[in-house]
Amino acid sequence: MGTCFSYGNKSLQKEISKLNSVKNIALIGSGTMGIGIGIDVLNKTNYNIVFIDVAEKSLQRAENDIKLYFGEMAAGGRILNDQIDDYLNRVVYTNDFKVLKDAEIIWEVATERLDIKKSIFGNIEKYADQDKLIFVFSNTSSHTTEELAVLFNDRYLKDKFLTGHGYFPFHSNRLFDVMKGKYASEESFTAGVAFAEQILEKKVIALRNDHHGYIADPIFQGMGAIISWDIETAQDLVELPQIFGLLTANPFQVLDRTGHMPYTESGNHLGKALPLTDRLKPIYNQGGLHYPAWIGDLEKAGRIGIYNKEKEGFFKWDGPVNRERPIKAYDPKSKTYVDIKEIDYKDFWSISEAKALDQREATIKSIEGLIQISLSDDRGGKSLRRYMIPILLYALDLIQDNHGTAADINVASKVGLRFKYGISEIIDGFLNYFGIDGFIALVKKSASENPDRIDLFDVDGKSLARKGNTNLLYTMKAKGWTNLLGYGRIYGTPVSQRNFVSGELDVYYNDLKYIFPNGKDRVASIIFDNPLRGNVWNKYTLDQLDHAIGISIEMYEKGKLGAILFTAAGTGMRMLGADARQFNKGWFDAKKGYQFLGEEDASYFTKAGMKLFRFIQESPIWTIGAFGEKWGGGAEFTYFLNQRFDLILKGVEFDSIQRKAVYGDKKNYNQPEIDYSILGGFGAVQELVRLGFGESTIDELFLQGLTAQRAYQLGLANGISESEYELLEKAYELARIKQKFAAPYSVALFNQQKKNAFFEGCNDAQLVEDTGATFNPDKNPYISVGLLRLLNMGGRNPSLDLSVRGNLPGWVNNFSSLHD
Amino acid sequence: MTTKKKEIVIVSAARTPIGKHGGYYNYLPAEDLAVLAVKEAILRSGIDLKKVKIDQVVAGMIYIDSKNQQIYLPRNVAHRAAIELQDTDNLMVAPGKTALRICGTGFQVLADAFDLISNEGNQKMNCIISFGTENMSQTNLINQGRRKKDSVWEFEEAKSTDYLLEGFNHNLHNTLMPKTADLYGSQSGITRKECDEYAFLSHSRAKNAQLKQWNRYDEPGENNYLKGLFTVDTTDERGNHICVWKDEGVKYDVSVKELNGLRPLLSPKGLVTPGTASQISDGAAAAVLMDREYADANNIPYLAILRGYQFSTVDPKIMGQGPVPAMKDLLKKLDLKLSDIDLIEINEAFAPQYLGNEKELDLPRDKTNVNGGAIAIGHNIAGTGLRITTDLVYELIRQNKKLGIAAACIGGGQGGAVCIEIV
Repeated sequence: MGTCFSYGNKSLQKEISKLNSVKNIALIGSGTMGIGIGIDVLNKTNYNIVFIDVAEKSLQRAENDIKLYFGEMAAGGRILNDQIDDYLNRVVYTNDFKVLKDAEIIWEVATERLDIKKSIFGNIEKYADQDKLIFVFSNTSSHTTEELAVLFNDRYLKDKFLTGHGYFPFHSNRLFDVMKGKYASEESFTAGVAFAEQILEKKVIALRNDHHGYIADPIFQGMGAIISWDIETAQDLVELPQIFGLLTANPFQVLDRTGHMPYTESGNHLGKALPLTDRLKPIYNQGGLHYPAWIGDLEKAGRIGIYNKEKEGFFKWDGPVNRERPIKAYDPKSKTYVDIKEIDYKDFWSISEAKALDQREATIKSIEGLIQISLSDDRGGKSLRRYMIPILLYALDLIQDNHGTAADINVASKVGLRFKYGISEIIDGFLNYFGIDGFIALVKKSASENPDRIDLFDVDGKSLARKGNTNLLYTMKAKGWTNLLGYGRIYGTPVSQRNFVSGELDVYYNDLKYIFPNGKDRVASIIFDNPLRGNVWNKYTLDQLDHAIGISIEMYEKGKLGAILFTAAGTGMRMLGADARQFNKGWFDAKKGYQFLGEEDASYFTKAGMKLFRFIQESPIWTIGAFGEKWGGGAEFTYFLNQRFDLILKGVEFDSIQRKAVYGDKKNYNQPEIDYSILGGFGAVQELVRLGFGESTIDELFLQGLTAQRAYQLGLANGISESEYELLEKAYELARIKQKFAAPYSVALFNQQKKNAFFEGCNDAQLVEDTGATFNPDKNPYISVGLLRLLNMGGRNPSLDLSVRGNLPGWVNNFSSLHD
Repeated sequence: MTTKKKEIVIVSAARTPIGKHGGYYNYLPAEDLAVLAVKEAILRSGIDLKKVKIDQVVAGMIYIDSKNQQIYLPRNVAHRAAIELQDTDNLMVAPGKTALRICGTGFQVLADAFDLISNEGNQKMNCIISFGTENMSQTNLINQGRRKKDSVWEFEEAKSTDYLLEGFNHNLHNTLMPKTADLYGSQSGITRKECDEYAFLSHSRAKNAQLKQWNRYDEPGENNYLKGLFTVDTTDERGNHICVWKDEGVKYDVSVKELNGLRPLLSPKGLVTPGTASQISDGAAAAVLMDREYADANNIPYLAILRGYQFSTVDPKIMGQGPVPAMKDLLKKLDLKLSDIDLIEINEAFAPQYLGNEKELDLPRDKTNVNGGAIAIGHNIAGTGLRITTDLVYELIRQNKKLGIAAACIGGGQGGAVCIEIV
């Protein structure tokens, strides 16, 4: 729980392992964000937390909220009543900064005011033990790291200082930004990113260079700001943002749900602080204002969305808690709320067509729909060109100015802003349809339609902001690059990103993490990395895993990889089965229920998965899995690996005999498919038979599940441990040791023998032939070095070239045609 | 009639913080580091490029970096530094050369300046900029395929080799640099325990110096250590902003126990471990040197006199012994005794090498490498000589002392040393 692992990367090992010995974290500031972070840290680590706040009231609120949260956890049967105190006793509330002396991590979560932060930093400088301190995080959504780092007098603390930014609600939004800025050391950055990634289980956008508001915030804020000046009536709040509704949601509704951040404060900040090179700076500076006066009126009146008593913001909301719906919209002129009218589809015909197209194709918010809108001249097309095109160009600027990569922007928009397709995917969609010249023509058409905002559409480096910076589109055109991202072979989802320095497509996965093998260890690690959703299998994971296996097999052929460690991120190393959302095409009908996959689509999912899993199983790469709780497809995947290491799981479960939650052993292997009217679609039954299980044990697994100990007893688990770190260490070490001399010929022959023995039984004549063949250097080019190793145990063994040479018995690398 | 002996002065000296392998300067080529150091040295000298003519730029660099342009190094650096200093007709057009004496390159660039300024008559020069730079993080894998005999543009098939590692082996004597240190250390009776303790001392001294480093605090107070070093605030070739204030290799959390647990590189009884060897590092240093008479005549203040230099040879198999004859010969040449020397810097290529030198020369440890050495700070090969000379000059000034010697062992069986006098 709450441990970090460096996956063989020696240069990171020391910094990362420091995090495993952390005992104390200090949270300075006990407001909403501080409490959210505190609860998350309590849940995911065994750290002691000290909340420091000068306001007694805030501390009291934090104490109450945390008590309430764990009380509800117990009431919900997720922890036992006896355990509540274990959590609560780990928290101390104080107004005395002296406690900082014990903290290994300091996280400042105070108000976004520089004078307050300066005084806090003074206390950090005064009291923190510099030898103990690993890093200092500041939770800020608008300041840059540099703006805050300079508040320290001691340069050593600037080295340790990072900005970090979670998204509300902290525990259930997966995105987390870490920004290094120019001062922080590599060590601090490594530790900060590892902490956020491995301990807080976030999807981290790790930014080296400062940018106001990171990536997702300025994009989101820009989406609202770019429309805000055009809002004249209540109905505008409904109609104009429709175009962003097709990407994610109406930004004004999102603002109401998050309490406005507050909008006016960040508008002021961005208006002043954004550099002159920022394309969107003009939309925060219009007529001497940083935001339209009507938004100022709204916030001054305390109307900040569902968090005020009246539930009034840009909209008036009604309905049960967390399920509120907008019932009226704010009218800037009368400053009252008026009824929302039906949208006149004649005006927005293209948008309704796009929605109809999505319905027909059984997709949601498709890029094809957006393209169709962009071609139209109705109000829908005009709003796309006026509002969306500048946001796309802004994303290209962020890449060009080295603030984020194409995938950072894609992931930030997808994970943080819940875009259905990330911004880079949308740009690629437009480029594929229009071509680069066609897209530039679309931008120019947009510019000519919007002469009042001509600078927002600049691609030629002529506007004040982008002066001298011809758009990245021209670079792409000159180099012959037609896309920002690379796409998978099975479902065409993103798997890589354009490296604008080398021009290559670099690996970048959203749901997996791929750790390249180092020259010595030759062990790659593939980590299923979406712990918030239980590391589910869906079309994204399949594409990414396929890509990851592709690069692994390429390295294997060259002798640079010999083993793969598979594991899952997050506490408990969970791996759920197929993504339930995957089985639904995206539409819900109250009468008919979900529109589930058709027969063909469902078969395709199994077919694609099985091809890939079978390839992994039959390849001569050693594969080792280290997992905790596994369900359905997650468990099935591990049956295809050479070895399975299981985490001994303890936890609270509902006991149906005692009719109460009890603490005890939890099951690692669970195959509940039958309960849901489906089948173990990744071959559970047949693979278990292959692994030597009979009906009784297969039934046991399907009916009861298997704990780690039981699986170990039955031979399904090959190693077990109570600690995640120890389990990973054992699994990685096995991979490391065994890859050293895994001569491809022998491993392939070993695989072939297992397969033949399973299908045909014993075949002594074949054995005789195979044994002879291993001693024939023409067939087995690894024999001489292998034998030297056997016969020369005392001396230094000669180095082994483990690249694939000649034909391997029973195995042909058919990866390139796997999905043909 | 006796002619007055020519004196060469160090008008200014500056060095970058030293980055560790893959660290701060991973994407900052050696040339960029040199431009920063040369610019800083000129700014520190206070000279007016409109009045003081730069007669020569002497560069030192050994390994190829990401730019692949080190053959043009001195002119490139002069050109780029000139642009930054708004100079068009002095530094911009100053002739340049590159010197190479492996780990002694940083001394060689001083020695070259010394000789050129010492010349008489037509060949005499007054002002020289010397610099040494290295980015070992950016060293390449070299494919050794030769050009084909029958085609200029085609190459023979050959394997790729690690250029850096190739350099660590002296093929003629089949001796790897760590092996020379193991041999010299064992011949001198140095133990592994002594090596580990010395490595720890190097880190501790460097850490203590950083605690009082002049640029550590925005309000520096009385902190005045390592004034030779300047803060590097720049953008690297990936477009990342970096701001480096301290030597990156210094470990704050190292212990003798941890050092003791490290595996020896070459044999179970070996003395060289990753902890007792200098680090693979990146960094640059530069100095402005002048004829003392010329400086005095133009009212240019200077930091120190470069009293002299010496390169001596030893058995290549124990190249670490190099500083011993080099220092002895230099002291003899300058008619000085070791006891006259206030502070000494001996490059810590390897702990057993330093300890062997210390034993042979009977060096007082409290006067030697007082702010840590290459084990903690790093050994950016071509830059090291000038780095330790710069640190020595500023430490002598800080302690209000007079005479100092900087020395280093040099692969292939040499030792180099320079003597500094604060005036």
